[in-house]
Amino acid sequence: MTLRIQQAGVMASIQDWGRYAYQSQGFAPAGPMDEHAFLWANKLLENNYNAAQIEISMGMFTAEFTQATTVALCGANTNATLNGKQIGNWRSFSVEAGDVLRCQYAPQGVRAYLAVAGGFQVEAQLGSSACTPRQGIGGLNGSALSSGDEIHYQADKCRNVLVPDRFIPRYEKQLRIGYYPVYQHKSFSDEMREQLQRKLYQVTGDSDRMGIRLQGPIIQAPETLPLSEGIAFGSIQIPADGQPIILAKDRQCIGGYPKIACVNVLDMSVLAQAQPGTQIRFYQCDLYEQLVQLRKRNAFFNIN
Amino acid sequence: MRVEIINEQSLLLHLDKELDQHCPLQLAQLRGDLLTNFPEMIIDAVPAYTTILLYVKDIVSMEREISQFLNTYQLNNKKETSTEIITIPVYYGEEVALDADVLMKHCQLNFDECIQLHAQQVYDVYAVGFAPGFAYLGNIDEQLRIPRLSTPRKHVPAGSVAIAENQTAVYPQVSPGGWHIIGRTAMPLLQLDQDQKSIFSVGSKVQFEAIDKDTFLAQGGDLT
Repeated sequence: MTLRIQQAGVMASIQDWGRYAYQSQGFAPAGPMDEHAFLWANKLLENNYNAAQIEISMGMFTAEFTQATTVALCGANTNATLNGKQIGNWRSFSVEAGDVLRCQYAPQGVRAYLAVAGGFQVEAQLGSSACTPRQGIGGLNGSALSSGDEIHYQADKCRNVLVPDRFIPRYEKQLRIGYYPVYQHKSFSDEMREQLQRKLYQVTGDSDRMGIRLQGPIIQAPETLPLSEGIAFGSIQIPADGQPIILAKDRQCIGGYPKIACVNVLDMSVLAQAQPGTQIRFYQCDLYEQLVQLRKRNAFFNIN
Repeated sequence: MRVEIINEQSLLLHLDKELDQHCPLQLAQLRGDLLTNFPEMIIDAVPAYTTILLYVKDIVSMEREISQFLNTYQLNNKKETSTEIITIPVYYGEEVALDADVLMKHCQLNFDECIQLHAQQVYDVYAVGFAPGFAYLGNIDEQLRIPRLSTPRKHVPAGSVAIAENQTAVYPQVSPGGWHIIGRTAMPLLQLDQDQKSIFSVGSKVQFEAIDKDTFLAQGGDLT
């Protein structure tokens, strides 16, 4: 029983929750860029939170199911169709053998998540099936999906359910993103720190799973570069050109550019769906408030 | 020493001292001691130069407990003599030493002198992680120091041995890179079927050994 990829689009890859114990040896953690959509897709199918899915960037994805099962689609709205009929988003639905799922270019959001009951059956490498193509690890052969690939799954029927409306994000064109003033924050000038809070930054088109790249008023880095150090999820790195890069799931494990701050974990899911041109305004958030939200989420989705 | 909360899942441990040759071993020992003392709570620990980034389960309790742990912790200042040296055979031939000319001009040395300076020394691993198994080795001889390439290469061949500023490294896989390439090894640096995937970890000792073309080819080396 396999899913046959007919068209993989810009970038589609296998992702589970990620590969967490190998960053000290240089392997990116990988995992879903948008944790919120990923977790809902597994929840709808009563899967373990870690079950492997397909992360589809920018739509343009077509695949055929060779056996009946139940699947879920969450995240970017790709006007998905099953055998040519609209099927909606943020829901689970049954498929029959021979059904063809087609995701179009996403008018809202960037990444859609396709989950199957029981999870896609992909052999784990270093404890995870999550794929970082740049490092040649995870997925089917260490690469992103391409047409002709076949991914195994177990046939399984479960109820068709919807995500309650209040949990479906709207993918706004203007975002407020919360950060912690950490790493080299204090080495930046007062003016630059204030600029981070007051000016608008735009998401650019060369953002990818490694980092969300922003464009806006130049942030001048301190003159002395730090020694390379471990890079946490959401670190806001300021390279020589002064345009911030927010480091995401396929980030390098250590790096030597100054980091002005770190984005909170939940807002990284919001950023994962920000199309080019989306405007970002940063604010300093409170760790304890964020921890309450994150713990609530983790409890709800049974993340241990 | 102190710990800084970076986000909801990461703590950055600072040695709060100047970088010196003791740091790699001190970090390696401290990392090991932390993993032993908090086995269930630390998911990963990424050491580099004078810091360790810790991925932890409960940030609030771990910040408190690790701070307490560090209060009484003594960094080891003794020179470790028993550490095994990893020897990397390197072919420094002109087909693979892509930046030999630039280096000779910059350093005003002939290439044999460059090779000798590069291969005569035992290096320490200060950090791992630009890419899987990519180790930052220091410090290279003063005479060999050269800034990074102004335009990084898009494709550095796997096994390339390179230098930049006061460090040297081997590229385990094909990757982009901005260091000057002076040779190539056929030795695999990643072993995905083993527990330890990268042959290098912070605190390892490394030496390069010059080999000729026939030996390089016999070891499975690739000149393209």
